[in-house]
Amino acid sequence: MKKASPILIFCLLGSLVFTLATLTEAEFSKLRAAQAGQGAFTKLLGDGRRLFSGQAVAMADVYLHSGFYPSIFDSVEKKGEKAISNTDEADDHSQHKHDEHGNCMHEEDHSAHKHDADGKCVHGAGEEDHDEEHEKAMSFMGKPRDPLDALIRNFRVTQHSHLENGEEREVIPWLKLAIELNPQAVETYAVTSFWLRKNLKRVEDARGVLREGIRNNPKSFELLFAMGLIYEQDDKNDEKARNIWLAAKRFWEDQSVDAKEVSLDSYGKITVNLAHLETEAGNLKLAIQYYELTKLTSPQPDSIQKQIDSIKSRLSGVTAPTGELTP
Amino acid sequence: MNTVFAIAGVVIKELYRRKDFYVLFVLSALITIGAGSINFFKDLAMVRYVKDVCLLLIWLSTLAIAVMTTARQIPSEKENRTIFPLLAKPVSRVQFIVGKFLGCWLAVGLAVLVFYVFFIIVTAAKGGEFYFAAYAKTIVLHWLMLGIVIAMTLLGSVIFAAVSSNATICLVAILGILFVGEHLNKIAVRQPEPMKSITYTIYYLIPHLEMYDVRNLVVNNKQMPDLIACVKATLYAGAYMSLFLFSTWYVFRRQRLNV
Repeated sequence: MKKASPILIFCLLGSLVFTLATLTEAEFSKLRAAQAGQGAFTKLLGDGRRLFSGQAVAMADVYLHSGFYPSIFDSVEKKGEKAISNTDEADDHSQHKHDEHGNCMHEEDHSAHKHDADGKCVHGAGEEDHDEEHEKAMSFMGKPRDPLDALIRNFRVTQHSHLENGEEREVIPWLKLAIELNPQAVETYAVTSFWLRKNLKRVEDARGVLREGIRNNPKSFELLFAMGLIYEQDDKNDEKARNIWLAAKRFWEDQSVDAKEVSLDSYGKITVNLAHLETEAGNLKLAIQYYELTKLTSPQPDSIQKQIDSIKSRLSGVTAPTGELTP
Repeated sequence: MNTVFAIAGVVIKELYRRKDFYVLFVLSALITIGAGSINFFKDLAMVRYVKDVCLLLIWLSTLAIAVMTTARQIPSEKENRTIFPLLAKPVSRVQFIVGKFLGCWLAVGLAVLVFYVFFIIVTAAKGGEFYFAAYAKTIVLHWLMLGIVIAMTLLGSVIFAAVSSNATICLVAILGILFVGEHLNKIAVRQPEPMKSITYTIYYLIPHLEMYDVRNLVVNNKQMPDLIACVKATLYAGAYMSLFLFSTWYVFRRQRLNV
């Protein structure tokens, strides 16, 4: 058999490769188009990336505590809610003033806290002081158990502190990573937007994060609520805030009964803010309706009733007595 | 002592002739620069995550270099039969062991220094502050930890037959200590007897390599341990290095050198 020339073999293989490339190009371009919007992690890890999303949020929390953080070996019962998840609901108490009677003076996000019968601010879940709870949760270290433990502690962060003075920005990369790892984790968008808006004063970036979240989770009432807060508090655009909160309310109501049960708190936040907005706008009857809805979900219906009574008395032209809650 | 330094010199030359260090350094540099160049909301002042990523890569790379370099020292001398002329000269087995250890430790020390210079440059480029004393302590503590690792791997190289098995077992043990070592006392108190006593004994027996891991302090700009704590850590490392080296010599002194 005659030996084929290496040049001829090379040309044959070259033309074979070229032909195959032209044949498969159409299929590959379709595949590339389908993956165009995907980030590096999606391409690398696929859906498995979602497993690491929580880890990225935990890293953000570690940074927020300047490295002082319980490990999985520290008492599980001492682990509290992540400080990073201090969205408006938990943290807003420090951001408004109180009068000499302890009444709430700020007129912004009334979902951020609850009020007792006298109109005094009461903290969120469990009605205990959040900071105290958090301090308790972070007192996991205790005294050294043995001399070796005492020596090792010289090389560890042993004091609980939070980032401040703009250093909170350091948590953002991890939160952004968490979003990329799991675009369906609604809370991560809300938390990222909170830190950008409240602590770093980067309202437009916060808005961008929420828009991305709403794009990925179009029926998320939590994100619509957070977006409404930006319109109300930062843009002072009550009309847009109202529309967005109404959409949020609609999406909440469209859920299944089970889903509604686990998100009652969100509904309360939406309706109480709508009620407040309508009170400000002078639509007192509508405000009462929203407060009635809030009362159904509130752990403190008496304080809501007090506000309803106050509005009713305003409607009937009776002046509210001194010290009575005004929303 | 000259004999020890002569053996150590050969080991150092071997490190910079081999490709391991260069590959790991380039890989670490590329990943760090890649992470550092990501733009989060046009805010260039975010530096901690870059420090974190860079320090993690430095730790992983130097651990790999230390274990791989040390694990092949004695087996390769045996395989190439260069150990016979070496020990035929007036070189005792103690000098051989100490020379190998010192060579590996100094060579890895050089690698650590290069890695940290890169780390300092990256941190400075991202606007991070430079704390000389803090970085000096970090480097020394890291180097001390690697000293224990090298001594431990050297002991493994006279116990285990193959380089791969020694390297794998040592890396598993080291990573185990780094992740769990510090928490064994917490685990122990939750166990019933006799598991409690056994766990506590292990806690006291193992070298606590994780003690030298001060990345958290560096990343979060926290105060570094004082001089007394550093001296204690040095004595602790010295004690374990001596123990492992003595054990290595004890096993090696009557070991057959034929493969």
